[in-house]
Amino acid sequence: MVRQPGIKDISELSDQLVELDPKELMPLPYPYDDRDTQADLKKLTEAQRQRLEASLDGFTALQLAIPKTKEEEDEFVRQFVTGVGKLLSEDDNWAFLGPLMLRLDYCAKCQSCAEACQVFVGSGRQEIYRPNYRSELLRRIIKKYYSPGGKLLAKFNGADIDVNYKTVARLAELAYRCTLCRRCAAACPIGVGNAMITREIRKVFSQEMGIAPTELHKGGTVKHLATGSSTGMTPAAFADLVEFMEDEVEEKTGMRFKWPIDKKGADILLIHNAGEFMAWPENPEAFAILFEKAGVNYTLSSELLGYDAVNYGLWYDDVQFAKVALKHIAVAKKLGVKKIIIGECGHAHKAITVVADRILAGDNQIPRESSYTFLADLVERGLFKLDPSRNNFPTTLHDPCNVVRLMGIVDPQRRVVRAVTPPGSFREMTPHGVENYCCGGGSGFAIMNALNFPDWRNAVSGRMKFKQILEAFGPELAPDVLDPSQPKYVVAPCSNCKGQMRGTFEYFDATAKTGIRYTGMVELIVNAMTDFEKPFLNPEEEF
Amino acid sequence: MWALQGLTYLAVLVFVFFVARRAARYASAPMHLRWELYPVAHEVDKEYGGSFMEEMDWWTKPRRTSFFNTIKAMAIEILFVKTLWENSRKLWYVSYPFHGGLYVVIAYLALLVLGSLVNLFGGQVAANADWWQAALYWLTVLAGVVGMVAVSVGCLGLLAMRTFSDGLRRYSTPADYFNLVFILAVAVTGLYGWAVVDPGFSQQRAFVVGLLSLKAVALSPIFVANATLFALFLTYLPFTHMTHFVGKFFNYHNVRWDDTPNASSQANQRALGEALNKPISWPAPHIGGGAGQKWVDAVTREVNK
Ligand code: SF4
Ligand code: SF4
Repeated sequence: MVRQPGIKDISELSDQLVELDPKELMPLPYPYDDRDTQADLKKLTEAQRQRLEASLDGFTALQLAIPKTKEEEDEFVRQFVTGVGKLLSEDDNWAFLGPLMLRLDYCAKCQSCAEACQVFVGSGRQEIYRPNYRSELLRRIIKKYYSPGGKLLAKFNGADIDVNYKTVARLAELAYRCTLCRRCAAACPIGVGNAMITREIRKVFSQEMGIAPTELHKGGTVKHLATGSSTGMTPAAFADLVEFMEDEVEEKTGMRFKWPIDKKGADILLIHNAGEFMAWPENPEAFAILFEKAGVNYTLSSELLGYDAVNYGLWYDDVQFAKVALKHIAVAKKLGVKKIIIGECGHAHKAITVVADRILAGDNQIPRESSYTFLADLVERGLFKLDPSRNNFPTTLHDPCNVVRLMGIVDPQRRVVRAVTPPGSFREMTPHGVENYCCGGGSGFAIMNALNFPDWRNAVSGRMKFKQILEAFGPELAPDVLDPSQPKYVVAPCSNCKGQMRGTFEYFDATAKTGIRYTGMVELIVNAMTDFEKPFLNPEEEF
Repeated sequence: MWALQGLTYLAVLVFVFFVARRAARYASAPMHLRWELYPVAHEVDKEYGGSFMEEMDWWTKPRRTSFFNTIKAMAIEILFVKTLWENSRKLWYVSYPFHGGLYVVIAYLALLVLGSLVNLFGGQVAANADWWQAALYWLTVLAGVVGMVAVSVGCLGLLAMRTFSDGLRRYSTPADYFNLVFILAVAVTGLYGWAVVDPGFSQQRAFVVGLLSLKAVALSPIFVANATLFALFLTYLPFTHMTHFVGKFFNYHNVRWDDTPNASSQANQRALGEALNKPISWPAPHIGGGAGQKWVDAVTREVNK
């Protein structure tokens, strides 16, 4: 039995608070139902353990160096406590202060949120991952340091916790054990939820202490702003890639056409997650084919940031978030487009459309639209010759939290998938739509690949989605459907969700064992088009 | 009983003042960034949780929102605590009697005030009075008893859950138990007084008449205890998370359901102007512009390069 620490144990001086046992994680259905043959969770080496902070659960998202002296430890705590104070400031935290106060003041500790959380349930109900555990820690730290008579009162009402180096270091890691999916908020009778608290903790580490996962900050927003893309792709490299994709489209479809780049007078700026160009070029290719066929007057951009829609600031830092969003808008403004369409990237959708909305005044208010909505319209206007039977395999649809629960775009993608698949082959996951479970890679996890963090992400935070996928294709629905020789697709119209699925499927060897694969949505549309001889989707392709 | 009456006036004042102050604090917080969560109640024909952003070129179309849908969602949530029913059924079985009981107790208090006004204007609230005055009498008794019984049962259930359910126990503080015991004490003393001393709550009504007419009124000891506890509770309540009725309102209206696009909100655009001119003191290297730096500098420095 894995140890179940209480809230005050966070400050205990042990080397590691919790050790996860793969056998204790949430059980999975067939063919993963044998508890004794669960895949291992990679451990840090002894040398890494000596160097890196992993005293929460043995995993490290931040790769924090362990302080060498007591002074360094104290300084770490001091900086954190100072930063927490700034969360309560109308100046330093105007953007989230109001909702944060509500989240700090009103949790009834009813635990309705716990069963809604895929991390908590997926971990086999491991206490430290309980949504409320993390939130309650921040509340108690704030009470202790920032409410009148806090230290005394905390002792009186039993809510005191010791804020030492371990407390803060473990909290730093704990802020990266929640995918910010906000499923818990939907389950909260008071409307509190825990994602914002997680994000506020991340903000303190980033904005006050300069601490954030390398993949999100140094190799993320900083690289994005400096080179044009968080992948490091420069405008010149982007232009090369487009040429390569033009060739590939010709090879696959026989269609040869120039992709519009920096086209003045275009109505639309289409902006993809640049990860697609590298990992799944078939996705931007499918967009190009569809937009070309439909005669859409659009352009891509080769300006810095104009070819990478991601905004990792959404996950950990308000300032970086604003910088990236404003730059995206500046690119669109320069092109003079009428609207921006966001490709299949969930967080990019929410970042520029919803969360950035109130930092865009006056002529910065260029309309932003989801590609799902736009594509549904193209498909329904009959602009493509479609034969759904070309997609003759079972499909299910993954709902990216950022687009569905957090933007209310639920129906257009379903209309598209239904229109391009034969009757009876599409099955919904349970639950789906606004009640969906996160893929497990939300809030940056899908791109955080250092050391042993991917194992945690694939086995723990991605576990619930994997279970849902297995069940969607599972034996109860059709006895032979998990036969590995029968390809079946999870349609995941989001780069990060696909990244997560790539990881989970690899971790569980799912494609070999069950025949399950993932794809974006546009690929499925193109695959149904009768214009081309060869299928666009190739189930034999390496994932 | 002047002391008790004084305490009650004070309690009502403290309650109203500090609850209003809380509400004002949330209402006057700076504009925050959008952080809505679907389903959003005022959407039209989007029961599955859809939004206006599902429509092509939504910014060119008139915005359709439904006040009725908002009221309906609120009514269902307030009357039945639907979210708890859906997400924490076991807890609902004890939480609902508690909260439902509180609503009935609030109705009972309103009926007491109404009865007191009737008394003050020369009417009589009693079992053998005119039909409507008798009805008022019986309704008051019914609401009082049902409300207090439900609250007591709910309190006991919540105490049991907080004690025996692992998840709840782990995160409950002594204050959480204290709050429940406190409410239980108010309800039980009220019930005891009704059962043993005063089956028509006439003393309570007389006490309210006294409060309204500034006249001293004598109460039997059990009702003194009951009224004192109630007044103390009312004084204590605004300083606890039990004011979550305020929090819930703001959470739903100002956060979950606040999806107003900036383009259509002049007020928000003005607020943005103010916000960007606020000072920022986060010192991380990617922000730090030194003393006097404003948000607008921090977020545009690199972008304008
Ligand atoms: S966040 Fe909401 S659901 Fe979770 S414990 Fe607090 S009040 Fe309950
Ligand atoms: S936001 Fe999602 S991952 Fe985070 S605590 Fe809530 S349900 Fe769990």
